[in-house]
Amino acid sequence: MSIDAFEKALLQIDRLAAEKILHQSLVSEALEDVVQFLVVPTLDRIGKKWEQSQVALSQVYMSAKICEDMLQAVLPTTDIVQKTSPRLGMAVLLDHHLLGKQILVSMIRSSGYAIQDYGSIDPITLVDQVEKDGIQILFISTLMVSAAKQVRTVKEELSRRSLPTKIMVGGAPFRYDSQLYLEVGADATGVGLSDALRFIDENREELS
Amino acid sequence: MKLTMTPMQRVTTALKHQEADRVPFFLTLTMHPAKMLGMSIQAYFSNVDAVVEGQIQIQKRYGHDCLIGATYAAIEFQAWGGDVIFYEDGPPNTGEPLIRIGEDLNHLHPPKIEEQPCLANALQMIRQLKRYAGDQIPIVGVALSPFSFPVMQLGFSQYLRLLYEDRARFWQLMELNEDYFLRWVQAQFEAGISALTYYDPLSSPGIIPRGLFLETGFKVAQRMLPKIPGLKVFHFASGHCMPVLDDLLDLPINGVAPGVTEDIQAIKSVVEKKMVVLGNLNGIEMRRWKPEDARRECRQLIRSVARGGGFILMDNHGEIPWDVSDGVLSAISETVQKEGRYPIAD
Repeated sequence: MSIDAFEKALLQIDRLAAEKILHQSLVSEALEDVVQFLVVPTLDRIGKKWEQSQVALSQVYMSAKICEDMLQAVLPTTDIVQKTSPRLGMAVLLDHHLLGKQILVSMIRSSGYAIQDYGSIDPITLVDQVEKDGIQILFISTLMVSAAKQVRTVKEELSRRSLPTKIMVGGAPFRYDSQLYLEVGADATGVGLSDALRFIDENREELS
Repeated sequence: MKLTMTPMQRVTTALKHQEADRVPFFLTLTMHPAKMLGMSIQAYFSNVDAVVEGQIQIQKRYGHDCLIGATYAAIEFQAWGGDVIFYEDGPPNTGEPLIRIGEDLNHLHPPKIEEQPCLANALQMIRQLKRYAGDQIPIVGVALSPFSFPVMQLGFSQYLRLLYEDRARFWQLMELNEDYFLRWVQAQFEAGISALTYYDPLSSPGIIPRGLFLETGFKVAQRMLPKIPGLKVFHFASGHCMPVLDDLLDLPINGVAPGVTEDIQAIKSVVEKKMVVLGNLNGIEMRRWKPEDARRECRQLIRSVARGGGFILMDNHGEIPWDVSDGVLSAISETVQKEGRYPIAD
């Protein structure tokens, strides 16, 4: 399985080339292995390149979308079951700029996890959904500082209801101020797929 | 020694890459005047007289070198029929996108400038500011580039997919947007702005790769910029620009606003004498600065970039957050006024 070739196809937004590589890999490897050893490392590599300003956000988004589409097409034909523990959720607060959320949801699903996508939502309705669905790890993306500050409202409401949900935040305000996540009461801040997967692994035991 | 120049003279001197009496600085305070006047942000932006009074008073308070001839970025989305959401502690934001991908672009209706109350109010504000400022203080207007506006019209992800997957419809959308853009810009200059901020975050190589920019946003800029009847600054809204800086040198622009993470000194070396550099104080971090942080950051910028002119100190985004304290703003002003006098001390 060639990560270099797969990465090149994705960064060139060459859906056909990417599909060819994926299907060739599936001839000899199980889907779980293709996800673990091809898809996830490639998306992670692309995400890191964006953090280092080597690729553009549009390439990150299109790569994640292509992978999600390909895996969604393949999944019904396999026995693979998406990982449902811990229970994951993703939301954008008070905003219709959904790109960051869409990128992370695609990447997390491409990594084999199920994740509840709450779209654009206000803080209290989000906590209502988190409580109803038993979400254990919540990813929140914001574009504006005023929306970022509303993470505090989410955190306070979770605490008020004694919900142990962990929060990781991301988005432009958190990138430009590395301390902002502490100010709003989040448990962590992250930029890409590896940050999200690490956060899941770090909290898995505590939440189980 | 007493400062001898008006803000207009100071900015004009900087544009000529000469040293004025001191470093010019812009405080992009669109919401702080509401706080100063004891009004909610929504009430403030709905009242032309309040916005004019607010801009005048805040410029007097901090002594910066411009008046902001703009209110909020979502105003253009509002003019096209979109909903705007107002907050108590931040800039108004856009509601749901105007159309979904796959929908007929005929569902989009470019506004007639004079028939849209929000745009008409903005033009009235500029006229009143011009009556006050005359030729003494520059008035800076803003317009979203036709290339970046679809992020609001369609939503970010839908627009990226249009760019990559349906180039013909993309150019159809550009035709609609370019016509509206030129009418809006012309109206602002006629009302009295001195310079225009060409707000184009999508063109940043952090958002789209340079190759795609050259095929799309660059071509839009090539068509639009020569038709803007005055000074113009290319603004990436905090996005970085170094990889496309050489391309920007081929465009008829007077200034560039680089990203907050970029080495502004390096940017200035590349564009030296061809355009002025504006920036790049971190507006998000500014929220938790103390005055000594503001003094340190301004001092560093002045000492590294200001020599030789060609520099205007300002924040990276073009809109200072609501919760930046008056103490920090005063510290920025005091530091520039004291330590920004030419010749710059070591």
